[in-house]
Amino acid sequence: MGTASGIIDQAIRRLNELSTTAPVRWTRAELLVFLNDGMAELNLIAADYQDTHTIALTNVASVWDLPEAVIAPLSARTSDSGYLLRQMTEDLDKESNWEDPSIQRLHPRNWATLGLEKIIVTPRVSVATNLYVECLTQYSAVPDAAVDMGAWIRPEYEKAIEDFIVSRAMFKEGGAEAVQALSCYARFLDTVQQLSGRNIIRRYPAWDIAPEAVGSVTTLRQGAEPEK
Amino acid sequence: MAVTVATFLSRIAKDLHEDPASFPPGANNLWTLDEMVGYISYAERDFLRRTGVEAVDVTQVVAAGNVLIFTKPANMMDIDRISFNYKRLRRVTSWDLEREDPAWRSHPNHKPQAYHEDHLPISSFELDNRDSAGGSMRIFGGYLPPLHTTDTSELIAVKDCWEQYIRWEVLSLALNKDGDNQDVARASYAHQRYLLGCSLAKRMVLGTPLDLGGVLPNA
Repeated sequence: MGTASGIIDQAIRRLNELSTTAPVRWTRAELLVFLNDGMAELNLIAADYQDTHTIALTNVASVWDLPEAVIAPLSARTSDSGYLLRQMTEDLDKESNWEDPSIQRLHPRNWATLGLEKIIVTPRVSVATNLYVECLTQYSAVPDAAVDMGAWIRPEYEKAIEDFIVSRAMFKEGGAEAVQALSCYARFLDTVQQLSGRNIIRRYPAWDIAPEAVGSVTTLRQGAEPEK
Repeated sequence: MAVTVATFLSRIAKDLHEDPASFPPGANNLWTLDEMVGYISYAERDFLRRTGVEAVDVTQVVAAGNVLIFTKPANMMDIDRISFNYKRLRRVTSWDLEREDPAWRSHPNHKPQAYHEDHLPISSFELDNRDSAGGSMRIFGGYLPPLHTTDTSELIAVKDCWEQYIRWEVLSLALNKDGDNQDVARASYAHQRYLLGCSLAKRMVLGTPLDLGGVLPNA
């Protein structure tokens, strides 16, 4: 194992097919879709694939588009003023007239999401500067080939993808088979939750602004507060 | 967004044991292309409405005038926020405006401070004032994708990472179709998987609790 095609081969064996090259009830292309579905869901639950995208801020706008590959922005920083504080748009409205183009500062202090494809950065910068947005990012599609899965996920989580493929494939069969697949999906969820637990620290200083969120007490989070 | 309707249907067809994946009308096919396209539009709009992952940012020039009622942009669901000349407008009800000033509509040429959407035709909103000098109005809201046609080269309206959840909901709708092939158990399961996707998306829009409680089903 360790390769994409190896994971699909093993999933086919678990599905009790005689041939891994020409399975009868599923095509390899079909299982490849499930492999990529599993990768996407693993990433959404565990926030595993993070990347940094650069936005060249100028004083012409306060709303900026994020690249297509971005699933969600997690945090934002500049090179000289550190992490910006994540806010809700409502909070920005309470505090400042952030839309006014005449209000500009040397450093931006706050950001908020507008959907997941745009971010609001306030106040506008008076001097062009780079904003580094740390984002949860979409995996590129995995091909059905002998490519090392280590380029996408850590090896110890490959079996979760295998569980996902098996459960997803058995859904197609319906009836009792679909029910039997639930245990495989449960194993997938169990594993990615463990991965998520390991990844919590990687999400700082990111997602803790929702009203129901537990307040963070980490020093990193405090480091994201604006200077007093 | 790189998944076309044709690709999407080819994935769905395998789950439904349909061949060919073009869902042609005919006595031997349980689902038609028109029907599947309808399911896709249903699922996309429902997903975007539930999650708000895609937002629209529209700026409209407002000329001087007395008319206070405006039409919401056609590609927008609920309005999240309106500002006029860079100032946020409060969202109120017409009752609030009446209580403050029963004659508010008779002197419309002041700086707007609020808007309301109640007691108006669908997709309309009304400002409490319209600046005599005009200005610009900026509206944030959720994205409302156009309905799909039977042109299968159209793209699915969400990013690729969310596409599988649209697939789950389309499967749920298809399997729930009345008839001999109805499979309520699988339809229900598919809907639950769709709702998981909605939870994951919503969690990112709002910011997320540190743990996953309430997001993931008990495995």
